[in-house]
Amino acid sequence: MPLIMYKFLLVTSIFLIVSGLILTAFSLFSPLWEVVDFPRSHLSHHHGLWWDCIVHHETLIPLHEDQAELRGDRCDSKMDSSVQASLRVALEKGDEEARELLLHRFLPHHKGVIFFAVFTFVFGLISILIGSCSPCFPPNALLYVVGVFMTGACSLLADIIYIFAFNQKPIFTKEQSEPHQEVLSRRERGSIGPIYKRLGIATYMHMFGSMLLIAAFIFSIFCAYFLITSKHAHDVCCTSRKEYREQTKWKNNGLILKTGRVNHQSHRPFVVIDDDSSM
Amino acid sequence: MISYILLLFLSFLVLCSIALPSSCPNLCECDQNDSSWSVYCRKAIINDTIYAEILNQLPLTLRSLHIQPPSNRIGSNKLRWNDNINRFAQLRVLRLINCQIPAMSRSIRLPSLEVLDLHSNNIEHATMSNFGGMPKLRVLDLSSNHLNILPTGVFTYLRALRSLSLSNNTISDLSTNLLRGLNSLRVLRLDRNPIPIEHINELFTDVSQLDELYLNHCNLSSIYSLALDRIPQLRQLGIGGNNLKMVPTKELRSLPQLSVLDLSHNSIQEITACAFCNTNISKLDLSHNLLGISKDSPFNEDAFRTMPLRHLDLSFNHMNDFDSKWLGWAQEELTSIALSGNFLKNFEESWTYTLKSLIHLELAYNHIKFIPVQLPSRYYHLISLNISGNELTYLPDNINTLLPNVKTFDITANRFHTFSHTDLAFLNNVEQVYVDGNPWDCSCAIQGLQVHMRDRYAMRHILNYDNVRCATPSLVEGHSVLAITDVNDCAVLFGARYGLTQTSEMLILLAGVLLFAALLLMILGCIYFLRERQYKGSYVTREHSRTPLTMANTHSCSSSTNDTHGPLSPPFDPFLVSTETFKATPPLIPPAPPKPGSSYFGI
Repeated sequence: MPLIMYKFLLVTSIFLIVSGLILTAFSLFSPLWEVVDFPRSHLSHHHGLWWDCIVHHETLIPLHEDQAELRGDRCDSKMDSSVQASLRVALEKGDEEARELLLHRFLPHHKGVIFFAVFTFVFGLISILIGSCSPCFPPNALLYVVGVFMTGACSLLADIIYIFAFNQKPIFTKEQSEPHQEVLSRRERGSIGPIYKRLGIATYMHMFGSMLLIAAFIFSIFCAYFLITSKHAHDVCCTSRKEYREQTKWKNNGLILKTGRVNHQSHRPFVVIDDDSSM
Repeated sequence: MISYILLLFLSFLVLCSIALPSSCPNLCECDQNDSSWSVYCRKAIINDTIYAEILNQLPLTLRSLHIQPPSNRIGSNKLRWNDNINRFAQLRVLRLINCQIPAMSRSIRLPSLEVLDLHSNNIEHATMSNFGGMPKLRVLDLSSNHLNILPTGVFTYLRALRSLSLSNNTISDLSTNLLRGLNSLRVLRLDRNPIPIEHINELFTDVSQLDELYLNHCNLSSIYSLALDRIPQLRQLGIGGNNLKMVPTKELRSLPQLSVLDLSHNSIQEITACAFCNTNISKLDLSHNLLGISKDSPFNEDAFRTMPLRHLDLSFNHMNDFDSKWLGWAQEELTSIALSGNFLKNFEESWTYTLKSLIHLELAYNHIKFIPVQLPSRYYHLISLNISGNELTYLPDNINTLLPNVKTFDITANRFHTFSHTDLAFLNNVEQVYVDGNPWDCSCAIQGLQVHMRDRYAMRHILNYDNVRCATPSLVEGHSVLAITDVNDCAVLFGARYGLTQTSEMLILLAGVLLFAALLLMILGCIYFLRERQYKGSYVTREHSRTPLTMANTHSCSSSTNDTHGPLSPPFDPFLVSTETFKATPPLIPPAPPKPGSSYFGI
């Protein structure tokens, strides 16, 4: 019974690790980590880890039809040098739209997530290998627990860093005019209107992946427990008939030896010859 | 009909509400006090179109308007005079600097204007009608323009004028009665204009009430012909840059109230005895001369006798071996000394050790590479220290004990990239810190400096914050430090505290995970080995279960021993003997144990 439970837990935890890593991989390459909505302009900015997208919402009556055609939906890679050039231009403007464009680059929390995601994959793959080999080598169960712990910890740290940075307000914010003044301002071209930002589905996907990894960690603890506490732990891998005979050979009762009359050679060494016929 | 009138009235109200609020133009900074505005447009290059838009956006309660191109890039504004500015009836200060304005309008109507600053433009002509609409003007700055000839009576309407600057033009002729009627004029600046001395002397007749006169770099061929006795109330005189070789002692005698004298940019090699005797000069500028070019002291011991000297500027001379004893009579009362640009290279005791009242010291542009851990004791009392233009890269950790009383600290144009926490703790206690002209690293650590600058934002123009610019990283190169808000490469969780960067933060977190993992591994390993030990104990128990078997074996040996002691017999008989042995065993059991043991071991 413990053996069956052990195998079930091991398979389940490995499955959870694989699922968590797959979810993490998908979330990493999605631009939907953060969504910034501009209701007045009928568009949204999607900020991912590798690229940023501008998506225009469909409306029943397009207000600026020509501009909408010219400004199609597009995704810019953060590694594109032309994007960096546009950032310098945006810095010189200093208005709301320019400040939003400054988010289209590698920010510290993006780097943090990528950094820990790499280690999540590394530790995850190592854990899968160790876990697969733990039936033949019981101490591997302990390494398996540690490996899964490191995997889950890295993934969880990535989430913590991103959520913390998302909720953090800018330290220095330029004084902005009040919204009602913006509404009444005659320069409509420069006004952006209210901005709403929210977490995207990729963030939740990554968080769910982290939960799976933590669940795998819990399963691995029980797995190690059942393996170590099992009385037949050392018997799990013994499938060879020869090994079985070797282990059971000395379970018989002791032999009673009988010797003949001792002659002048009574001081010779005592030699025992193993013979099946004596059983 | 009534409903139509009502709708019209409501729409009118809406339009009024739309028109009334004014917003700050994008390219400008606005300080708003109650209903009065002060506007500074110094961020970008401004042309006529943008200038017109700015004027349209500003409210009628505008008090101050300052337009100037940014100093960090090549180029200047290009404006023409816009008469729309006349609608600001409450405007008091107007500064249009470096805007390539070719001419002033003849229709200017600014009844409240007090300060008009048009320096560094391209104005070629000035006429009476240019100034007819500014009856309250007190300060007029037309320096660095292309003025050549000023017609008679051009400033007639400026009855309240107190300060007039015509420096750095090409004025070679002053018309007769140019300043007649300006009874309020107190400050006159004519620097860098090739005006004949005769014309200047005639000018003095009209403005005998002058307090300040500046004739620096005017190529005065003969300073001795200057009729300074016609302006006896003069308190400040600037005659630098006129190739003087000696202090004009005789000419200064006719100015009993003179307190500030500028003799910079001359060729003076020594100060003779009693050069300033019986004068009230308290501030003397001898910078950019040839003092110290000879080996001995350039000051006679009686050079500063019977004068209340407080401020002495000896910058950019040849004072490599300056000793404060040279100042003779001025040592006791001197409170400020400037020794900039003298290749001093470090901080020596001999410069200041006899100046008991010293509170201000300037050591700019002296190739100083570092501030030592210990400074001369006189520096303890300094209130102001200027070490700009040197090669400093850091401040010592004990800077707060070296300069505990400093209130003004100038480190402009050094090589600072960032400040440490101890540096910032010191600087935050200093009222005015000039930090422009350094190659600032605008990554994470710049936040401390930004906080410092934000605390002093009200003094941003005095402290020249527009020129505090980033050198690295390349994305923000050349941008103002204060404008960098979202570009800092700060650690996410710890911010700028503890001097961490993002890389170090990531590595610390990873190290924490690995450390905890190692701890977990140790705990689990201990549990596992404890389990193994228990299993081994169980094995010992099985060993214990084998003991009776060993004793049975002993009995067999005992039988053998008895047979050994018996008489010898043919091989056929051993079987019978063995049987007998079994029968005899019961009576011999009590004494047998010791003997069989030894025999068994013997075998």
